[in-house]
Amino acid sequence: MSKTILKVRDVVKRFGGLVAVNKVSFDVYEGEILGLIGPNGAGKTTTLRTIMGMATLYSGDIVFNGNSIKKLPTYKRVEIGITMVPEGRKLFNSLTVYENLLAGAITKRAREKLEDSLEFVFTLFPRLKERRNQLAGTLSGGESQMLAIARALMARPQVLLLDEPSLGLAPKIVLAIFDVIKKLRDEGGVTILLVEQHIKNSLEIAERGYVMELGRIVLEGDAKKLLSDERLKKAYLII
Amino acid sequence: MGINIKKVYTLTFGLGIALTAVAAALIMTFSRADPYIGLLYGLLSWVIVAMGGLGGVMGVLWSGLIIGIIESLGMTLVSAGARELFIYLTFLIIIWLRPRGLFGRR
Amino acid sequence: MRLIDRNTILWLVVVAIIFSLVPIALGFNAYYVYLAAQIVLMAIMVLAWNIIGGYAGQLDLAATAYLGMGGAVAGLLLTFYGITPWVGVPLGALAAIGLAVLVGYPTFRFGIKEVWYALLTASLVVIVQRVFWLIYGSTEIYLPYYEWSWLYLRFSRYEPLYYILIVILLFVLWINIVIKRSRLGYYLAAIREDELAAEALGIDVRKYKLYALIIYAAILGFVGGIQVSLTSIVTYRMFDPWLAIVVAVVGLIGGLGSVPGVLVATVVLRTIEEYLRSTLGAVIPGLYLLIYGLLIVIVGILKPEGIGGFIESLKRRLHKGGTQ
Repeated sequence: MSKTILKVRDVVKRFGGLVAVNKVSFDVYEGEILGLIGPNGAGKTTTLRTIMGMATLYSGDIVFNGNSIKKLPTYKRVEIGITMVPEGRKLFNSLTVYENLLAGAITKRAREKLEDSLEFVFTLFPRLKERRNQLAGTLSGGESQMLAIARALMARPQVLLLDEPSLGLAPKIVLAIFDVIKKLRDEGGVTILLVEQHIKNSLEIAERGYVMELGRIVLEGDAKKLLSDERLKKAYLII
Repeated sequence: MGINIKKVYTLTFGLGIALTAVAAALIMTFSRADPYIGLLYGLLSWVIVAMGGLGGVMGVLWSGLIIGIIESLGMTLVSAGARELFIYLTFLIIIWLRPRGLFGRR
Repeated sequence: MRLIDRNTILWLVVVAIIFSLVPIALGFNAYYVYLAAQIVLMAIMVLAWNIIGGYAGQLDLAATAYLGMGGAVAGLLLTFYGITPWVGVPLGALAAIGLAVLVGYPTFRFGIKEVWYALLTASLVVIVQRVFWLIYGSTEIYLPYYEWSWLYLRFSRYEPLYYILIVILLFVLWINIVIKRSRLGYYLAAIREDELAAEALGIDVRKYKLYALIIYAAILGFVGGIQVSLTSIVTYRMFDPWLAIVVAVVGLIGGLGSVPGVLVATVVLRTIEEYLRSTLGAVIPGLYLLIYGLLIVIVGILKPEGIGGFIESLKRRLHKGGTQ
């Protein structure tokens, strides 16, 4: 039986009158890839941000490894093992690849394992090793996404939140990125919460999925089953 | 989407400047003129707008009102020189409580 | 991270020599040496600002609040209690740090940024100025006169203070360089580039912004005490909102985070400013403000990296020439 590493309980997030996340609950099992999918504006990114502490909860709770973390500031959450790769990468463009990676290893835990982390990341992304002294702002789309993921990995997270990693990338590169994500789970032992609009690709590598629409979870279940779900197919036409 | 953004910006900017010029001309009739007063009025108007929340007429209205009342209170209670102290102290406190202004969007 | 390396030492020595020769070049003319001292003072201020503005990316317009704080404490302690500046100036720096923490802690804790931060800091100067004015009014408090006292740092000439300022300048240059290459420097760069991303990585944004603010305020408070010795008076005018804005503007023109850019910008601009003030000052007061305004617009539109950007391209071109 898989252990629940992260629990999202009845989370509500409001922006003034607008309820962006409406009583969302789900469990993330250790070592899995969980897909959180849905259209634009469904509240997926906001949900991730509440998990990271970058958006304050209106009500509800976030439980990590059995402890409620809703009162912890963001940097503390990174310290205990949750890291996010934000939408649009948000790299530090005026710093080099290497410096961006250094910046990712903030916590004491991460700094102690700095050399190991660098090695791990460079094996996973050999292209980054080649370009280690290049300015982050000069990288291509795919390389930027790789750097963003690598940078988050430097914090040695237990749970990695990925916000739309395929955004703006060419299909071939998207496949490469998803390959890496799979590797992370298989070889790196990282639990991954994947937010995506790319339904097919995400459900193909995930174990389970939750579909969000207008702030609520409307569909959930085994990834394979969801892929062949009629309602999903009709709604998103993509599959 | 059909809206000529550049044009709108230029227009707004120009209008803003024109209005300021008119206001300045009016103020000139009872105040002094030197290149430095720009700061006084400049900062004050910026503070009022920012305190209101950078965006609606409502915000600026309330902000201006509050500032005006505090200003008068300050002048009567303490002294004429305290006027600016109260205004900017109010701004400080309000911004601490509402980091994006009174009616700012989070 | 090495605290100091040969290249840095070389540059610092060059700067030291160039600046040291200035009074000689000016023929020890009191008026010119006074101006030169003012220019070095400004360089120190802008370099300090570089830490909160250039590295951390916060548009802080409160430089003179901290400068005046240090100056007021040091000056008043000397004038009314006969306390030597060797004690008074560090106390002034502490007072400035106190002010920085008092205002900075809640400000950063509530996440105040960008334009609101700029306005808040601008307001701070006015507030502190008004408070001083309410206590001391418009009186100009004169520092006691000593003909040549190292104990009280009061001299009948400006040269000693000028050289003291040079020493401080070298120190502040060194601090800038050290920070830039340290972990704090990376965190600040990350915060400046993208605060949200930095936060998501686990950087305690509030803490590091406060560190930057404290270092900046400490330097300003310290040098404020020296400035008072230079000008010989303590008055509410020390808390000048305009000057605080000019410091930020020059910092921007010099290029965010570029130490040589900032140094060059300050010296060049301040010198031009003085020149304009002395020649056309009576005719068109505030002309130098126009120049600053124009420059900031040009920098904003054409060359956001400021003078630092020019220096970088120069460096690159020199390198290329070498490999030919």
